[in-house]
Amino acid sequence: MRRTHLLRWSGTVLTPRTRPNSCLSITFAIQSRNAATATAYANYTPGIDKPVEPSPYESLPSPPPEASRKSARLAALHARLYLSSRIPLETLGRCLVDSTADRHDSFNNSSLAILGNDVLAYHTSELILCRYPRLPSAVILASTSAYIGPYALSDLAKSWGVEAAAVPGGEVDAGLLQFRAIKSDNSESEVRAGVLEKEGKISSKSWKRGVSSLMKQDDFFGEITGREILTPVQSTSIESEYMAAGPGSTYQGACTNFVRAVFGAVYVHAGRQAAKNFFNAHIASRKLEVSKMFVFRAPERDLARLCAREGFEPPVARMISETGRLSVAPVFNVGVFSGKEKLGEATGASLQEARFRAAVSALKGWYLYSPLQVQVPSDVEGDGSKEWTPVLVDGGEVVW
Amino acid sequence: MVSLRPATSKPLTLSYLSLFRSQRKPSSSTLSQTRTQATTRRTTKAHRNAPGPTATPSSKYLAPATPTIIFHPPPSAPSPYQTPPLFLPPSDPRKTLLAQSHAFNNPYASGARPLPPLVRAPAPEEKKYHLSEEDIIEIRRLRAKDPWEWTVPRLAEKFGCSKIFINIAAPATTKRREWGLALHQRYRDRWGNKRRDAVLDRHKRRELWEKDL
Repeated sequence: MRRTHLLRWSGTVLTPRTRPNSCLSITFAIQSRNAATATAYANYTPGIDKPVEPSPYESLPSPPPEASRKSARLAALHARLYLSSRIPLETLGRCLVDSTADRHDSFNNSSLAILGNDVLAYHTSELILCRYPRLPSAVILASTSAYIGPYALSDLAKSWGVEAAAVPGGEVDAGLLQFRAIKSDNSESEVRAGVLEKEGKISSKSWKRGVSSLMKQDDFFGEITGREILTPVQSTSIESEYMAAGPGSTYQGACTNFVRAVFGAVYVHAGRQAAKNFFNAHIASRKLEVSKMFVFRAPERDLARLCAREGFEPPVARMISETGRLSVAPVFNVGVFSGKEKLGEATGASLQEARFRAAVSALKGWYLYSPLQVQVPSDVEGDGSKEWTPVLVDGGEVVW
Repeated sequence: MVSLRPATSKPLTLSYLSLFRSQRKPSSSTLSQTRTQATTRRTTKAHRNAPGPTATPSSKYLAPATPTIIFHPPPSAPSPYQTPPLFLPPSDPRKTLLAQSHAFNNPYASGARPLPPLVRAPAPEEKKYHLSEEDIIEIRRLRAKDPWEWTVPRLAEKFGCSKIFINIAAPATTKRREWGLALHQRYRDRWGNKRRDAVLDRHKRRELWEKDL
């Protein structure tokens, strides 16, 4: 496989940045110390309230790149994440600026987040597909979302110890997450398969959207592409002026974009292998119970269909053991057999339940097949010494 | 306090086996005493079994100095991550590497143990696939003509096929379906709290089956 050319993509990130619309020349030598800091106590005269001098940064929507060097929080975050020294603090500072805080794309994290999202989705999908090559599409979408969806990424940001600034601005510590906060509106949130956030609202399309459509047309989680711009909630308080000033984001959305941007930054500055290591350390290391993401409506029918397709003998339920058939609490242990091979086994409190659950267990045995040695494409990318063994491709899920 | 022991009976000697004869029928003529495991001590004693052969290394076969691995997992449901041998793809090395182990674990294949009995009686007859296109047109015509006269069971009997097939080939008209739904709704409206709760609970349990919880 060929290496991707990073530098072609990353021009906007690596070039020195200037703000053309509001070029402020800030000289740090004459910067007056903010009266709120502790050492200002020396100049304090009792009885006279000295007016706080406005910081020259206050006119900026987000901290300038130079401020990143002075932030202890940012340095601590850099060290805590064990990031390479090739990733400058300025870039990490930029990752913390959401597009709702600073609209200028050279200073917010939107470009890095787009790149980071693609890096995350690439590694996640190769991880899931190579580890469980027979998973049904719906479970693939749900596990992708469970690994790199908004819920998982915002949890990750919290565990990294990232805190949000109350209000974004140029004078705010560069180590704080900056976004224009709006209240999350849970009533409208679109939760499908229990994992999805409202990133794009399902438009009023007349046709029914099937799983194939989700896989083919939409984003990595089966949601319609295109993030909906959330308009701030109108209120009558003094916040209304701020809230009405522009689009906002939820805390979860801002955290998600921040984590994506960090992955983008690692990819751009430290390279493909570093991004993969970072992914393995922070995403792939999280345990996901894939076996609990299944819902079967008619497992016995599905299993019969599967056996017919694969050329196995039709499945039959056989009673392995039972106890208390005439009591109030019977237990039946039923196995599903194809010929003389047992496919699955389960217990139930009724014959119907035991048969149903045994069929579910057999189907899970089929879908959760995992090869002995999991090799992903990025393991052999750019390395001629390793040979790629193709992933198993077979009939896949049972489709009616 | 009156002694229940009849004068003629022998003094009772407690044997180990008599502990398990708790369901002895009392004779109608004489009042005989039966001993049951009514006390904690006797139950504990009865349950005091020797550990299973796999629980400890046997000194008969292993020298005491030999390090051994004791593998004695508790009985539990099989893991869903363990692929049944039949479902392993032909390219998988486990197919050949674990062939011996799979054969050992499946006593039914070698005939060492007979297959367990079926849970349900097998389907009485094979599928016949005997209906022609004209038959299906006739089924549809009859069902559309008078769905109250030509119900699903009646059509299935006339054409010798399953009721499911009739439902697939000639689904009910909207009018008939709404009539049926309204009928069921009338029945449901007559349910009391007990039955409604029981049905709701059944639906909830069914959801647990579907999610395998």
